[in-house]
Amino acid sequence: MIARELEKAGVPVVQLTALTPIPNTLGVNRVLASAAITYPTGDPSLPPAEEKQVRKQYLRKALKALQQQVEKPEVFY
Amino acid sequence: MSGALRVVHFVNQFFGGVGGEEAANIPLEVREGPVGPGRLLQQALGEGGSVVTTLVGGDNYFSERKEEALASVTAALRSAKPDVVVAGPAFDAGRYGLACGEVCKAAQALGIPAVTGMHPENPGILSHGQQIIAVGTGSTPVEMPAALQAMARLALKLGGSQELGPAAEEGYLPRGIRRLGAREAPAATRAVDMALAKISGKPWMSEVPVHLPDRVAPAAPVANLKDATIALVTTGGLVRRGNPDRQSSGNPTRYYRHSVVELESLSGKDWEAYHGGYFNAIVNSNPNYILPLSFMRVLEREGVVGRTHQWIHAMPGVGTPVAKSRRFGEDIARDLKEDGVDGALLVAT
Repeated sequence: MIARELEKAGVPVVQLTALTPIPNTLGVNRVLASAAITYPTGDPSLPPAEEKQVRKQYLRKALKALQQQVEKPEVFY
Repeated sequence: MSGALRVVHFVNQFFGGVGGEEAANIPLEVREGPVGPGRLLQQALGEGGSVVTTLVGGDNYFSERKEEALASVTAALRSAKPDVVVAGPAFDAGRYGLACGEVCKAAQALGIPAVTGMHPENPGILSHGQQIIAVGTGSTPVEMPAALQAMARLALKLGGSQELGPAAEEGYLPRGIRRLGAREAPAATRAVDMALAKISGKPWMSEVPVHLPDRVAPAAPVANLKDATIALVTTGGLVRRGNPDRQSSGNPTRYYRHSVVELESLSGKDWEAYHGGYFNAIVNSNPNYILPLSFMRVLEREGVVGRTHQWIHAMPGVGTPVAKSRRFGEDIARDLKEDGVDGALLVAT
């Protein structure tokens, strides 16, 4: 609901979450699927060096989705 | 017709046979017996009821001179002394639907039960729906016979002082009233039956109607990321270590703004998650998992993104009612707009 209000006000939002069906049902326009509820933007099971790359990549994806023109609610992976 | 209920029927100038829009200003006329669709209503009532009086009123008369119109209706009902009032059906005609709703309420104010019929999106339902008994109809008079059948059935019940059952069973539009009652089986059994019916492709109906919110038009994307200010928001319950602001672990009363302007990263020494809806230990070891400040700083330095907004917004999302979330969203949106933020990342756990 927060994402919806931000978009209504003209601030584009990417919602980063593992629970993609919820924002999708609510009509959040840009959703980026994440690995898990307990560590949304990374993956602590990976070796630290590798995880660093994963986390950076993930944030890049989020910022890319923020620059994406969408017509209806979309889930990015 | 001894024992038959006395029924007063209300129709507009068109169904009363007076005329179309040119006659929409006529004041209330009181006629004896059924008129127009009233004849069909009489058939549907059968022996159980008798349309003793028909009230005919202009659509505009009811809209423009409402008080006068309702005073005439009240006077006519006092003299006709009906057991029940039937209004319409109005289908999708807005002024007629509003008039039907007003007539029903005027009757109820005199202690006389009333029933009407109209399209569920008729303004009459939107304005009076919770206070009147209305059968849902289609948008055109093609459905007149079916609508009158349903209305007549309810009129006989109401006029005979019988209590109506739930809206779905009796065939009227829900008024949003919930009554306590005993069900045939406990909730667990009903839930399993529903699940089995769903799996085997049989019809089933949820006991919890879900209203999906409207679509929000997508905001224009960030045009120039290199110069953009990006805000970070989280519903993961991020707090300063030890929770000095005394944030709750769920269903928050407010959200929290923290400045990160001097920070390179969120350290587990200074920040943690206080959130009753997920296992917090991993985030506590590295709070950047719910607010990716450290890698935003890396991407800032690499020139990928302009800057991270100095204020972060945080709250524990779990168990927050929709209306409250909406209010938080409106307020956060106002903060971000005032600060000239170009886009936001919302991390939700």
